[in-house]
Amino acid sequence: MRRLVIALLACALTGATALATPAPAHAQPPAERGTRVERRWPLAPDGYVKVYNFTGRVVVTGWDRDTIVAVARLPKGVQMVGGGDRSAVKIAVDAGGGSSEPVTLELRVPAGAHVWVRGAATALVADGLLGSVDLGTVNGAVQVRGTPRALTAESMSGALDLQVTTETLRARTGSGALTWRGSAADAQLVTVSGTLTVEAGPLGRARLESVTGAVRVTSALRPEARVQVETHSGDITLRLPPKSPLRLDADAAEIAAPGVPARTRPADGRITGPAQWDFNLARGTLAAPTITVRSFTGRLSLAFAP
Amino acid sequence: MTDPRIPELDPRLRERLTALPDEVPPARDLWPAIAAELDAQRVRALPGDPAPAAAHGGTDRGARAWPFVRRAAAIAVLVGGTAVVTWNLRGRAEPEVVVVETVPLRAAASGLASYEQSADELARALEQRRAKLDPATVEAIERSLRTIDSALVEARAALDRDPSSAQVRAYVEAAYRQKIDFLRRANDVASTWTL
Repeated sequence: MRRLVIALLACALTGATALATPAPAHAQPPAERGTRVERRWPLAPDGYVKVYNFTGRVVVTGWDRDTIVAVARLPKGVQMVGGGDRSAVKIAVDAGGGSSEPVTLELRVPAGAHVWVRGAATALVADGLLGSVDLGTVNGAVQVRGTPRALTAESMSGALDLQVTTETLRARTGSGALTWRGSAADAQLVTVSGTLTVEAGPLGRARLESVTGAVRVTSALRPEARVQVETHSGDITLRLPPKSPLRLDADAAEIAAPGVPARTRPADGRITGPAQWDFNLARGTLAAPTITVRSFTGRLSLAFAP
Repeated sequence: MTDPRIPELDPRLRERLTALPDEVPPARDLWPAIAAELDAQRVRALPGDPAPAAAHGGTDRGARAWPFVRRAAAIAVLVGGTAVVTWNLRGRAEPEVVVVETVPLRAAASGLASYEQSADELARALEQRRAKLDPATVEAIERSLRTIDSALVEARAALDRDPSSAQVRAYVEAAYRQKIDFLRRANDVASTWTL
Protein backbone atom coordinates (compact mmCIF):
# COMPACT_ATOMS: atom_id res chain seq x y z
CA MET A 1 0.00 0.00 0.00
CA ARG A 2 2.79 2.37 0.93
CA ARG A 3 4.54 1.65 -2.38
CA LEU A 4 1.31 2.33 -4.26
CA VAL A 5 0.90 5.71 -2.56
CA ILE A 6 4.51 6.64 -3.36
CA ALA A 7 4.05 5.59 -6.98
CA LEU A 8 0.84 7.62 -7.28
CA LEU A 9 2.55 10.68 -5.75
CA ALA A 10 5.47 10.32 -8.15
CA CYS A 11 3.11 10.11 -11.12
CA ALA A 12 1.19 13.17 -9.96
CA LEU A 13 4.42 15.13 -9.44
CA THR A 14 5.75 14.17 -12.85
CA GLY A 15 2.47 15.11 -14.52
CA ALA A 16 2.30 18.45 -12.73
CA THR A 17 5.89 19.27 -13.70
CA ALA A 18 5.22 18.41 -17.31
CA LEU A 19 2.12 20.60 -17.39
CA ALA A 20 3.89 23.50 -15.69
CA THR A 21 6.88 23.48 -18.07
CA PRO A 22 6.17 25.25 -21.35
CA ALA A 23 7.45 23.48 -24.44
CA PRO A 24 10.39 25.31 -26.02
CA ALA A 25 9.85 26.77 -29.47
CA HIS A 26 12.25 24.32 -31.01
CA ALA A 27 10.75 21.29 -29.28
CA GLN A 28 10.73 18.12 -31.32
CA PRO A 29 7.33 17.18 -32.67
CA PRO A 30 5.72 14.04 -31.31
CA ALA A 31 7.36 10.85 -32.50
CA GLU A 32 6.30 10.11 -36.05
CA ARG A 33 5.09 6.77 -37.19
CA GLY A 34 6.43 5.06 -40.25
CA THR A 35 9.52 3.51 -41.63
CA ARG A 36 12.89 5.05 -40.94
CA VAL A 37 14.68 5.79 -44.20
CA GLU A 38 18.27 6.98 -44.56
CA ARG A 39 19.89 7.99 -47.85
CA ARG A 40 23.29 9.41 -48.73
CA TRP A 41 24.66 11.39 -51.63
CA PRO A 42 28.19 12.70 -52.23
CA LEU A 43 28.37 16.49 -52.55
CA ALA A 44 31.25 18.89 -53.13
CA PRO A 45 32.03 21.14 -50.13
CA ASP A 46 30.50 24.10 -52.00
CA GLY A 47 27.80 22.15 -53.83
CA TYR A 48 24.10 22.99 -54.09
CA VAL A 49 21.30 21.29 -52.19
CA LYS A 50 17.63 21.76 -53.02
CA VAL A 51 15.04 20.37 -50.62
CA TYR A 52 11.24 20.14 -50.67
CA ASN A 53 8.97 18.96 -47.89
CA PHE A 54 5.31 19.89 -48.07
CA THR A 55 4.39 19.34 -44.47
CA GLY A 56 6.32 18.68 -41.28
CA ARG A 57 9.82 19.85 -40.57
CA VAL A 58 13.18 20.16 -42.27
CA VAL A 59 16.32 20.34 -40.16
CA VAL A 60 19.56 21.08 -42.01
CA THR A 61 22.85 20.91 -40.16
CA GLY A 62 26.27 21.65 -41.61
CA TRP A 63 29.14 19.25 -41.06
CA ASP A 64 32.70 18.84 -42.27
CA ARG A 65 32.13 15.92 -44.66
CA ASP A 66 31.43 15.96 -48.38
CA THR A 67 28.34 13.85 -48.01
CA ILE A 68 24.66 14.53 -47.55
CA VAL A 69 22.87 12.26 -45.14
CA ALA A 70 19.09 12.48 -45.17
CA VAL A 71 16.98 10.73 -42.55
CA ALA A 72 13.21 10.64 -42.29
CA ARG A 73 10.50 8.47 -40.85
CA LEU A 74 8.06 8.03 -43.69
CA PRO A 75 4.37 7.16 -43.42
CA LYS A 76 2.93 4.62 -45.80
CA GLY A 77 2.75 5.89 -49.38
CA VAL A 78 5.35 8.58 -48.82
CA GLN A 79 8.86 8.31 -50.17
CA MET A 80 12.07 10.26 -50.08
CA VAL A 81 13.25 10.97 -53.61
CA GLY A 82 16.51 12.53 -54.55
CA GLY A 83 19.36 12.60 -56.98
CA GLY A 84 21.98 14.69 -58.66
CA ASP A 85 25.73 14.70 -58.86
CA ARG A 86 28.66 15.97 -56.79
CA SER A 87 27.83 19.57 -57.66
CA ALA A 88 24.09 19.56 -56.94
CA VAL A 89 21.57 17.31 -55.26
CA LYS A 90 17.80 17.61 -55.06
CA ILE A 91 15.84 15.89 -52.31
CA ALA A 92 12.08 15.79 -51.76
CA VAL A 93 9.57 14.16 -49.51
CA ASP A 94 7.05 12.92 -52.03
CA ALA A 95 3.53 11.94 -50.99
CA GLY A 96 2.88 10.65 -54.51
CA GLY A 97 0.04 13.05 -55.17
CA GLY A 98 -1.74 12.32 -51.91
CA SER A 99 -1.80 14.35 -48.72
CA SER A 100 0.67 13.29 -46.12
CA GLU A 101 1.12 13.23 -42.41
CA PRO A 102 3.85 15.63 -41.33
CA VAL A 103 7.32 14.30 -42.00
CA THR A 104 10.52 15.42 -40.30
CA LEU A 105 13.40 15.38 -42.73
CA GLU A 106 16.81 15.68 -41.10
CA LEU A 107 19.77 16.48 -43.29
CA ARG A 108 23.47 16.76 -42.72
CA VAL A 109 25.17 18.63 -45.53
CA PRO A 110 28.69 19.94 -46.18
CA ALA A 111 28.92 23.13 -44.12
CA GLY A 112 29.94 25.24 -47.13
CA ALA A 113 27.09 24.01 -49.32
CA HIS A 114 24.49 26.36 -50.80
CA VAL A 115 21.19 25.27 -49.32
CA TRP A 116 17.70 25.99 -50.68
CA VAL A 117 14.64 24.65 -48.87
CA ARG A 118 10.94 25.07 -49.57
CA GLY A 119 8.05 23.96 -47.39
CA ALA A 120 4.37 24.73 -46.99
CA ALA A 121 3.07 23.68 -43.57
CA THR A 122 6.69 23.10 -42.70
CA ALA A 123 8.98 24.37 -39.97
CA LEU A 124 12.51 24.97 -41.19
CA VAL A 125 15.63 24.81 -39.03
CA ALA A 126 19.21 25.41 -40.16
CA ASP A 127 22.36 25.33 -38.10
CA GLY A 128 26.08 25.44 -38.75
CA LEU A 129 25.89 26.38 -42.43
CA LEU A 130 28.56 28.59 -44.04
CA GLY A 131 27.37 28.87 -47.65
CA SER A 132 24.35 30.77 -48.91
CA VAL A 133 21.08 29.66 -47.35
CA ASP A 134 17.60 30.25 -48.76
CA LEU A 135 14.65 29.00 -46.71
CA GLY A 136 11.01 29.53 -47.64
CA THR A 137 7.80 28.22 -46.11
CA VAL A 138 4.17 29.23 -45.88
CA ASN A 139 2.80 28.52 -42.44
CA GLY A 140 5.82 27.23 -40.62
CA ALA A 141 8.41 28.91 -38.44
CA VAL A 142 12.00 29.40 -39.56
CA GLN A 143 14.92 29.13 -37.17
CA VAL A 144 18.52 29.73 -38.22
CA ARG A 145 21.73 29.71 -36.20
CA GLY A 146 25.26 30.31 -37.40
CA THR A 147 27.28 32.31 -39.88
CA PRO A 148 26.00 31.64 -43.39
CA ARG A 149 27.57 33.70 -46.15
CA ALA A 150 24.14 35.01 -47.09
CA LEU A 151 20.70 34.22 -45.72
CA THR A 152 17.24 34.55 -47.19
CA ALA A 153 14.43 33.42 -44.88
CA GLU A 154 10.75 33.76 -45.68
CA SER A 155 7.46 32.62 -44.25
CA MET A 156 4.00 33.87 -45.10
CA SER A 157 2.72 33.59 -41.54
CA GLY A 158 5.32 31.83 -39.44
CA ALA A 159 7.78 33.36 -37.01
CA LEU A 160 11.40 33.87 -38.01
CA ASP A 161 14.05 33.44 -35.33
CA LEU A 162 17.48 34.25 -36.70
CA GLN A 163 20.69 34.20 -34.71
CA VAL A 164 23.04 34.83 -37.56
CA THR A 165 26.02 36.89 -38.51
CA THR A 166 26.24 37.20 -42.26
CA GLU A 167 27.13 39.51 -45.10
CA THR A 168 23.65 39.76 -46.60
CA LEU A 169 20.40 39.06 -44.80
CA ARG A 170 16.95 39.06 -46.36
CA ALA A 171 14.06 38.03 -44.13
CA ARG A 172 10.34 38.40 -44.63
CA THR A 173 7.22 37.23 -42.88
CA GLY A 174 3.57 38.23 -42.90
CA SER A 175 1.90 37.87 -39.53
CA GLY A 176 4.74 36.08 -37.78
CA ALA A 177 7.24 37.76 -35.49
CA LEU A 178 10.71 38.35 -36.86
CA THR A 179 13.62 38.33 -34.44
CA TRP A 180 17.24 38.80 -35.46
CA ARG A 181 20.26 38.61 -33.22
CA GLY A 182 23.60 38.99 -34.93
CA SER A 183 25.27 41.25 -37.42
CA ALA A 184 25.22 41.93 -41.15
CA ALA A 185 26.71 44.39 -43.59
CA ASP A 186 23.42 44.56 -45.46
CA ALA A 187 20.06 43.53 -44.02
CA GLN A 188 16.46 43.81 -45.18
CA LEU A 189 13.80 42.65 -42.75
CA VAL A 190 10.11 42.90 -43.55
CA THR A 191 6.90 41.93 -41.78
CA VAL A 192 3.28 42.78 -42.45
CA SER A 193 1.82 42.62 -38.96
CA GLY A 194 4.46 40.71 -37.03
CA THR A 195 6.69 42.42 -34.50
CA LEU A 196 10.18 43.02 -35.84
CA THR A 197 12.91 42.80 -33.20
CA VAL A 198 16.54 43.50 -33.98
CA GLU A 199 19.07 42.85 -31.28
CA ALA A 200 22.01 42.98 -33.54
CA GLY A 201 25.03 44.91 -34.14
CA PRO A 202 26.72 46.79 -35.20
CA LEU A 203 24.28 47.57 -38.00
CA GLY A 204 25.60 48.68 -41.36
CA ARG A 205 23.11 49.07 -44.18
CA ALA A 206 19.69 47.95 -43.00
CA ARG A 207 16.09 48.34 -44.03
CA LEU A 208 13.44 47.41 -41.47
CA GLU A 209 9.88 47.51 -42.61
CA SER A 210 6.45 46.64 -41.29
CA VAL A 211 2.89 47.65 -41.99
CA THR A 212 1.26 47.35 -38.57
CA GLY A 213 3.93 45.50 -36.61
CA ALA A 214 6.11 47.23 -34.03
CA VAL A 215 9.81 47.63 -34.83
CA ARG A 216 12.26 47.39 -31.93
CA VAL A 217 15.94 47.93 -32.49
CA THR A 218 18.61 47.51 -29.84
CA SER A 219 21.92 47.85 -31.58
CA ALA A 220 25.14 49.72 -32.11
CA LEU A 221 25.75 51.40 -35.46
CA ARG A 222 28.75 51.16 -37.76
CA PRO A 223 30.33 54.55 -38.57
CA GLU A 224 28.93 54.37 -42.09
CA ALA A 225 25.54 52.99 -41.01
CA ARG A 226 22.47 53.78 -43.07
CA VAL A 227 19.38 52.35 -41.39
CA GLN A 228 15.88 52.90 -42.72
CA VAL A 229 12.86 52.05 -40.59
CA GLU A 230 9.43 52.28 -42.12
CA THR A 231 6.00 51.36 -40.76
CA HIS A 232 2.45 52.32 -41.48
CA SER A 233 1.11 52.19 -37.95
CA GLY A 234 3.62 50.13 -36.02
CA ASP A 235 5.44 51.89 -33.21
CA ILE A 236 9.23 52.17 -33.51
CA THR A 237 11.63 51.89 -30.61
CA LEU A 238 15.32 52.60 -31.12
CA ARG A 239 17.73 51.87 -28.31
CA LEU A 240 21.37 52.72 -29.03
CA PRO A 241 24.45 52.55 -26.79
CA PRO A 242 25.12 55.69 -24.72
CA LYS A 243 26.79 58.54 -26.59
CA SER A 244 26.34 56.88 -29.97
CA PRO A 245 26.81 59.43 -32.73
CA LEU A 246 23.60 59.58 -34.74
CA ARG A 247 21.87 61.63 -37.37
CA LEU A 248 18.12 61.00 -37.13
CA ASP A 249 15.83 61.89 -39.99
CA ALA A 250 12.31 61.16 -38.84
CA ASP A 251 8.65 61.56 -39.56
CA ALA A 252 6.18 59.87 -37.23
CA ALA A 253 2.92 60.63 -35.46
CA GLU A 254 4.85 61.21 -32.25
CA ILE A 255 8.57 61.51 -31.68
CA ALA A 256 10.19 61.14 -28.28
CA ALA A 257 13.96 61.56 -28.17
CA PRO A 258 16.38 62.81 -25.51
CA GLY A 259 16.86 66.55 -25.68
CA VAL A 260 14.17 66.97 -28.30
CA PRO A 261 10.92 68.72 -27.35
CA ALA A 262 8.01 66.28 -27.63
CA ARG A 263 6.81 66.37 -31.18
CA THR A 264 3.30 65.35 -32.12
CA ARG A 265 1.41 65.71 -35.35
CA PRO A 266 -1.07 68.60 -35.44
CA ALA A 267 -4.58 67.84 -34.22
CA ASP A 268 -5.89 67.76 -37.78
CA GLY A 269 -3.48 64.90 -38.53
CA ARG A 270 -1.69 66.81 -41.26
CA ILE A 271 1.69 65.35 -42.12
CA THR A 272 4.21 68.12 -42.18
CA GLY A 273 7.20 66.05 -43.23
CA PRO A 274 10.42 64.86 -41.65
CA ALA A 275 12.83 66.72 -39.42
CA GLN A 276 16.48 66.02 -38.73
CA TRP A 277 18.45 65.94 -35.48
CA ASP A 278 22.08 65.23 -34.68
CA PHE A 279 22.97 63.39 -31.49
CA ASN A 280 26.47 63.18 -30.04
CA LEU A 281 27.97 64.68 -33.19
CA ALA A 282 30.48 67.49 -33.43
CA ARG A 283 28.95 70.61 -34.98
CA GLY A 284 29.43 70.65 -38.73
CA THR A 285 29.92 66.90 -39.06
CA LEU A 286 28.97 65.88 -42.57
CA ALA A 287 29.08 62.07 -42.61
CA ALA A 288 27.45 60.32 -39.69
CA PRO A 289 25.64 57.09 -38.91
CA THR A 290 22.10 57.82 -40.04
CA ILE A 291 18.72 56.38 -39.17
CA THR A 292 15.78 57.38 -41.29
CA VAL A 293 12.35 56.75 -39.79
CA ARG A 294 9.03 57.02 -41.56
CA SER A 295 5.78 56.08 -39.88
CA PHE A 296 2.36 57.14 -41.04
CA THR A 297 0.59 56.80 -37.68
CA GLY A 298 3.15 55.02 -35.50
CA ARG A 299 5.20 56.59 -32.70
CA LEU A 300 8.96 56.80 -32.53
CA SER A 301 10.90 56.49 -29.31
CA LEU A 302 14.67 56.91 -29.25
CA ALA A 303 16.89 56.23 -26.26
CA PHE A 304 20.62 56.03 -25.62
CA ALA A 305 21.03 53.44 -22.91
CA PRO A 306 23.32 50.56 -21.95
CA MET B 1 -6.80 10.32 -50.78
CA THR B 2 -5.76 12.72 -53.51
CA ASP B 3 -4.35 16.14 -52.91
CA PRO B 4 -5.83 18.51 -55.51
CA ARG B 5 -2.83 20.80 -55.13
CA ILE B 6 -0.47 18.34 -56.75
CA PRO B 7 -1.30 17.06 -60.22
CA GLU B 8 -1.56 13.31 -60.70
CA LEU B 9 1.48 11.99 -62.52
CA ASP B 10 2.67 8.57 -63.44
CA PRO B 11 5.04 7.64 -60.58
CA ARG B 12 7.84 6.77 -63.02
CA LEU B 13 7.41 10.11 -64.79
CA ARG B 14 7.38 11.88 -61.43
CA GLU B 15 10.60 10.17 -60.40
CA ARG B 16 12.29 11.05 -63.68
CA LEU B 17 11.14 14.67 -63.47
CA THR B 18 12.41 14.90 -59.94
CA ALA B 19 15.79 13.58 -60.96
CA LEU B 20 16.21 16.14 -63.75
CA PRO B 21 18.82 18.81 -63.04
CA ASP B 22 17.58 22.38 -62.62
CA GLU B 23 20.26 23.76 -64.86
CA VAL B 24 21.82 22.27 -67.96
CA PRO B 25 25.29 23.60 -68.79
CA PRO B 26 25.87 24.56 -72.45
CA ALA B 27 27.52 21.95 -74.68
CA ARG B 28 30.54 24.17 -75.11
CA ASP B 29 32.03 26.99 -73.10
CA LEU B 30 30.64 30.18 -74.65
CA TRP B 31 32.60 32.64 -72.56
CA PRO B 32 35.89 32.73 -74.54
CA ALA B 33 34.08 33.85 -77.70
CA ILE B 34 32.04 36.44 -75.78
CA ALA B 35 35.17 37.74 -74.07
CA ALA B 36 37.00 37.99 -77.38
CA GLU B 37 34.11 39.96 -78.90
CA LEU B 38 34.00 42.32 -75.90
CA ASP B 39 37.74 42.87 -76.10
CA ALA B 40 37.53 43.55 -79.82
CA GLN B 41 34.84 46.19 -79.19
CA ARG B 42 36.89 47.75 -76.43
CA VAL B 43 39.74 48.63 -78.84
CA ARG B 44 37.60 49.30 -81.91
CA ALA B 45 38.96 52.33 -83.81
CA LEU B 46 36.96 55.54 -83.89
CA PRO B 47 36.75 57.15 -87.34
CA GLY B 48 40.00 58.98 -87.91
CA ASP B 49 41.67 57.28 -84.96
CA PRO B 50 45.05 55.60 -85.32
CA ALA B 51 45.02 51.86 -85.94
CA PRO B 52 43.78 49.77 -83.00
CA ALA B 53 47.06 47.91 -82.89
CA ALA B 54 48.89 51.15 -82.20
CA ALA B 55 46.32 52.27 -79.66
CA HIS B 56 46.34 48.93 -77.91
CA GLY B 57 49.86 47.73 -77.92
CA GLY B 58 51.92 49.92 -80.24
CA THR B 59 55.09 51.76 -79.23
CA ASP B 60 54.18 55.15 -80.75
CA ARG B 61 53.48 57.26 -77.62
CA GLY B 62 51.98 60.11 -79.67
CA ALA B 63 49.58 57.79 -81.41
CA ARG B 64 48.58 56.25 -78.06
CA ALA B 65 48.04 59.66 -76.47
CA TRP B 66 45.96 61.04 -79.37
CA PRO B 67 42.60 59.41 -78.41
CA PHE B 68 42.98 60.67 -74.86
CA VAL B 69 43.60 64.21 -76.09
CA ARG B 70 40.45 63.95 -78.19
CA ARG B 71 38.44 62.64 -75.27
CA ALA B 72 39.76 65.35 -72.99
CA ALA B 73 38.75 67.95 -75.56
CA ALA B 74 35.28 66.40 -75.86
CA ILE B 75 34.85 66.41 -72.08
CA ALA B 76 35.95 70.04 -71.92
CA VAL B 77 33.38 71.00 -74.57
CA LEU B 78 30.66 69.05 -72.75
CA VAL B 79 31.44 70.56 -69.34
CA GLY B 80 31.70 74.04 -70.80
CA GLY B 81 28.42 73.65 -72.68
CA THR B 82 26.63 72.38 -69.59
CA ALA B 83 27.97 75.30 -67.55
CA VAL B 84 26.70 77.80 -70.13
CA VAL B 85 23.22 76.20 -70.23
CA THR B 86 23.06 76.08 -66.42
CA TRP B 87 24.12 79.72 -66.17
CA ASN B 88 21.38 80.71 -68.63
CA LEU B 89 18.73 78.71 -66.77
CA ARG B 90 19.70 80.27 -63.45
CA GLY B 91 19.37 83.69 -64.94
CA ARG B 92 15.77 83.13 -66.04
CA ALA B 93 12.68 84.01 -64.00
CA GLU B 94 9.62 82.27 -62.49
CA PRO B 95 8.02 80.25 -65.34
CA GLU B 96 10.85 77.70 -65.23
CA VAL B 97 10.32 77.27 -61.47
CA VAL B 98 6.69 76.37 -62.11
CA VAL B 99 7.77 73.70 -64.58
CA VAL B 100 10.20 72.27 -62.06
CA GLU B 101 7.39 71.98 -59.51
CA THR B 102 4.85 70.33 -61.79
CA VAL B 103 7.12 67.70 -63.32
CA PRO B 104 7.55 65.69 -60.13
CA LEU B 105 3.81 65.87 -59.42
CA ARG B 106 2.98 64.38 -62.81
CA ALA B 107 5.65 61.73 -62.39
CA ALA B 108 4.32 60.81 -58.98
CA ALA B 109 0.75 60.55 -60.21
CA SER B 110 1.71 58.21 -63.02
CA GLY B 111 3.88 56.35 -60.50
CA LEU B 112 0.83 55.60 -58.35
CA ALA B 113 -1.07 54.37 -61.38
CA SER B 114 1.72 51.99 -62.29
CA TYR B 115 1.88 50.69 -58.71
CA GLU B 116 -1.85 50.06 -58.85
CA GLN B 117 -1.57 48.30 -62.19
CA SER B 118 1.27 46.06 -60.98
CA ALA B 119 -0.66 45.16 -57.84
CA ASP B 120 -3.78 44.33 -59.88
CA GLU B 121 -1.82 42.12 -62.28
CA LEU B 122 -0.19 40.22 -59.44
CA ALA B 123 -3.53 39.84 -57.66
CA ARG B 124 -5.08 38.41 -60.83
CA ALA B 125 -2.19 35.96 -61.24
CA LEU B 126 -2.64 34.86 -57.65
CA GLU B 127 -6.39 34.48 -58.11
CA GLN B 128 -5.77 32.05 -60.97
CA ARG B 129 -3.63 29.88 -58.71
CA ARG B 130 -5.81 30.21 -55.66
CA ALA B 131 -7.90 27.10 -56.28
CA LYS B 132 -4.76 24.97 -56.17
CA LEU B 133 -3.58 26.35 -52.82
CA ASP B 134 -4.56 24.77 -49.57
CA PRO B 135 -6.98 26.71 -47.34
CA ALA B 136 -4.38 27.48 -44.65
CA THR B 137 -2.12 29.11 -47.25
CA VAL B 138 -5.00 31.11 -48.72
CA GLU B 139 -5.97 32.28 -45.23
CA ALA B 140 -2.38 33.31 -44.43
CA ILE B 141 -2.12 35.29 -47.65
CA GLU B 142 -5.52 36.94 -47.32
CA ARG B 143 -4.94 37.94 -43.70
CA SER B 144 -1.79 39.86 -44.62
CA LEU B 145 -3.35 41.35 -47.73
CA ARG B 146 -6.24 42.68 -45.65
CA THR B 147 -3.73 44.36 -43.32
CA ILE B 148 -1.87 45.96 -46.23
CA ASP B 149 -5.08 47.01 -47.97
CA SER B 150 -6.44 48.78 -44.92
CA ALA B 151 -3.11 50.64 -44.57
CA LEU B 152 -3.39 51.57 -48.22
CA VAL B 153 -6.95 52.86 -47.77
CA GLU B 154 -5.84 55.05 -44.85
CA ALA B 155 -2.88 56.45 -46.73
CA ARG B 156 -4.92 57.12 -49.87
CA ALA B 157 -7.57 58.91 -47.82
CA ALA B 158 -4.84 61.14 -46.38
CA LEU B 159 -3.58 61.84 -49.89
CA ASP B 160 -7.10 62.77 -50.99
CA ARG B 161 -7.22 65.29 -48.15
CA ASP B 162 -3.77 66.66 -48.91
CA PRO B 163 -2.90 65.85 -52.52
CA SER B 164 0.10 68.16 -52.66
CA SER B 165 1.95 66.48 -49.78
CA ALA B 166 5.00 64.63 -51.05
CA GLN B 167 5.33 62.90 -47.69
CA VAL B 168 1.79 61.48 -47.78
CA ARG B 169 2.39 60.33 -51.33
CA ALA B 170 5.52 58.59 -50.12
CA TYR B 171 3.42 56.71 -47.55
CA VAL B 172 0.95 55.65 -50.24
CA GLU B 173 3.83 54.45 -52.41
CA ALA B 174 5.30 52.56 -49.47
CA ALA B 175 1.99 50.77 -48.91
CA TYR B 176 1.81 49.87 -52.60
CA ARG B 177 5.39 48.60 -52.54
CA GLN B 178 4.56 46.39 -49.58
CA LYS B 179 1.47 45.08 -51.33
CA ILE B 180 3.38 44.31 -54.53
CA ASP B 181 6.21 42.70 -52.62
CA PHE B 182 3.79 40.52 -50.68
CA LEU B 183 1.82 39.55 -53.80
CA ARG B 184 5.06 38.58 -55.56
CA ARG B 185 5.99 36.34 -52.64
CA ALA B 186 2.50 34.84 -52.59
CA ASN B 187 2.76 34.11 -56.32
CA ASP B 188 6.18 32.54 -55.79
CA VAL B 189 4.72 30.31 -53.11
CA ALA B 190 1.75 29.44 -55.28
CA SER B 191 3.92 28.55 -58.26
CA THR B 192 6.27 26.47 -56.10
CA TRP B 193 3.47 24.28 -54.83
CA THR B 194 1.19 24.10 -57.85
CA LEU B 195 3.63 23.10 -60.58
